[in-house]
Amino acid sequence: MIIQQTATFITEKLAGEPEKKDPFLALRSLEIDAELVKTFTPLFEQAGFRIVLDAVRDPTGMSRKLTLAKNGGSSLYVIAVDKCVLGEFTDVTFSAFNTLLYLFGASSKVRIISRDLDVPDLGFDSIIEQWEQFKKISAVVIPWKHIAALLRENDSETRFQKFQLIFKLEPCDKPVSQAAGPITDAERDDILRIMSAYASGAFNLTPQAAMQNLVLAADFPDAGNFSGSWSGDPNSNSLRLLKWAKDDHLAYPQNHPRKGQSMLGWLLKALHDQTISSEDKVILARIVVDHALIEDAAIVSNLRTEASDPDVPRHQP
Amino acid sequence: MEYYGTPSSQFVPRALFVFLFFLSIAIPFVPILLFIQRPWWTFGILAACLVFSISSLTEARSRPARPVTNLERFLVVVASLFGNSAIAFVAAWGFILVKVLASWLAWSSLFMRILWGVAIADVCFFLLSALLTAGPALLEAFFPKTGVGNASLFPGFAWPKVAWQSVAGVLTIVLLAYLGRVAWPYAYLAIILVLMIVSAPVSTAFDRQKVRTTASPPPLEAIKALLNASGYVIAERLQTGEVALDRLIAVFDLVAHKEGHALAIVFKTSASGVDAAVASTSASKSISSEYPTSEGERDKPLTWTVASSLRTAIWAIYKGAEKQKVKMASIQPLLILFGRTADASLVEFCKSESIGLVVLPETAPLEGIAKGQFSPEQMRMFAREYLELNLDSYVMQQAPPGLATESPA
Repeated sequence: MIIQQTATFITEKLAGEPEKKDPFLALRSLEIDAELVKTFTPLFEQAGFRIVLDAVRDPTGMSRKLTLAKNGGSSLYVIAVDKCVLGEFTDVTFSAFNTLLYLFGASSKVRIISRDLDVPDLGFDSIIEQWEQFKKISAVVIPWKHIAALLRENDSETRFQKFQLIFKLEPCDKPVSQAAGPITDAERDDILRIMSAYASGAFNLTPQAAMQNLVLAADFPDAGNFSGSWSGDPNSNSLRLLKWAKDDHLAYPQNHPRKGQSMLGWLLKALHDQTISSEDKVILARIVVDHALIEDAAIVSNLRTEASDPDVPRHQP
Repeated sequence: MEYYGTPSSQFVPRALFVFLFFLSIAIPFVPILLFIQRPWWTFGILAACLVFSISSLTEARSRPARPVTNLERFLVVVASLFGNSAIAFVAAWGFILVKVLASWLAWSSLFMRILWGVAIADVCFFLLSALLTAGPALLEAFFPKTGVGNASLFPGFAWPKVAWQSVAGVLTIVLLAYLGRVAWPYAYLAIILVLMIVSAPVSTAFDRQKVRTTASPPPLEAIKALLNASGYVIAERLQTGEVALDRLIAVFDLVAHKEGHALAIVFKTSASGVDAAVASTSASKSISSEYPTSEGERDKPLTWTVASSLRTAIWAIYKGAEKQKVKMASIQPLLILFGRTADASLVEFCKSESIGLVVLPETAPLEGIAKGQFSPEQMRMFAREYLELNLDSYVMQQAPPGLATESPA
């Protein structure tokens, strides 16, 4: 043991072991350094973005500064994550890195730069994939070698092309279709009423099981994540699920057969297909058709036929 | 005992195990055989090592292979080289003694033959010792008996970091081998010393991680006993078979399930156990304010960040269960504290993320529970009391995941 420790000490000294950092402390600041700000600012401006210093808050309210590129309604967070976090996958670095999930809102776009790191350790890619599934956060770790190449590039045109490429500035996610404007308050109340009634009166199912059945029927990505977290109150469950799907304009991820389509649309379709009254089916069909929430032509055609039922009165505008 | 995550092919990992085990023994012992200039023996000895490597596989008969990266395979062999080289170095002294005596004293050839025989027996004895000690360590690395997921065996090691050391080590060994062949046979023994020096830091890192992955303190054993008494099945070994996903779920210390409902447990304690093992080994020497190492720091209440990875890790378990077709309709993450307290941010975070938070009272008779000193009825009562195994208490008034995680920014 003594021999082992002595030999370890000597070899580590010879190798010049770097000083270890606290991953949590390292993530207190997410600002990119001055050299990168100076380099990126004109490039972002050329791409139509405006660079601002922004701050996000963690669940305890602690503020963390970072760089935000804004282009009208579109925003891109550019953050620096220390190599001591992404370079080594342990319980500690996993916990530290995953705190970022709770800093950004749904559908945020994040570009992560880690000085001197080209490839994050195995495991971090899976975390980022989960962020996409969980909150539609599109995060990309930019290899440092690309940044270094950008810093070395002298030709302004080539530099801009490289910049666009590595920051993936091309629009990657199309906005969810809201053809006929947002859902009205009256429609929202209808959905809540129908969903709550279904959850509380579903045949042979508890309110929790009924809600789980709904997200499974809508084929939400990782529907299993919802399981075990429904409350016994159908109203609050419905309110939360609707708020989640509607207010965040969530769309199915790129690897889903319904990629890019509104999750709200398919949630309403799933609810429509449950054992509910025929009048409620017509109401749901109208909401889906009126707001073009589903892109499948055959399904939309059927729903349109159903929605035209003259016996069910429409809401007055 | 249940194992999940059997890779589709069990032959390839077993064949690789035999090869790597063989290498870890052969590399340090071959220089001794070259030192005594009996290269033809080498084949016999190596064949014996190979047979032993294959026979040691019988231990791993029922265990699924752990998915490992090529870097991990390489480093496990390097780590084994330290112990095996030390044994080989000790064994070599028998031959050194005989050589020196032969050059100094004019003993009869019969006496010299006896001495050579003793020296050979000495090497065989130490070779057998190396085979017996290295085998279980390698088996545990490649075919672990217990554990959720697969934490990296060598956190902090990467190819660029080990490349120059490996190249320098190999060049030195080649140079010494050449020197041993043409001029100075003792250079072969210097090879063994070089192997020891080069492999020492890797071996130290491997030992640290072994403590981390195999620690199962009495409080954790008590929780296992309580879950068993409540009808839960403990997944002794749970892995998805994908390295990246398995690293995520390795954050959990225990996974148990009953009728399709699973509990994924993370255990935090002050004095001993898994958390302390992480702290004492500093999770590959990283210093962390959230995983404190000193006694004083361990008294601090835990903040929300200790639970920040659980939802993501649960997702990986779902992925794994789905892949392995294991019925887990719902998985409840559960953070159990013993001798630690939770601050307001952790309590609030667990509530908003539907993570069960249990603080075990320090008066709980965990040792007695772990040793099975209570009746089944008492055990079930303890389970209800300490772990709140009335599962409704976890699911009531919780927001579905993802519904209440908006950044306030």
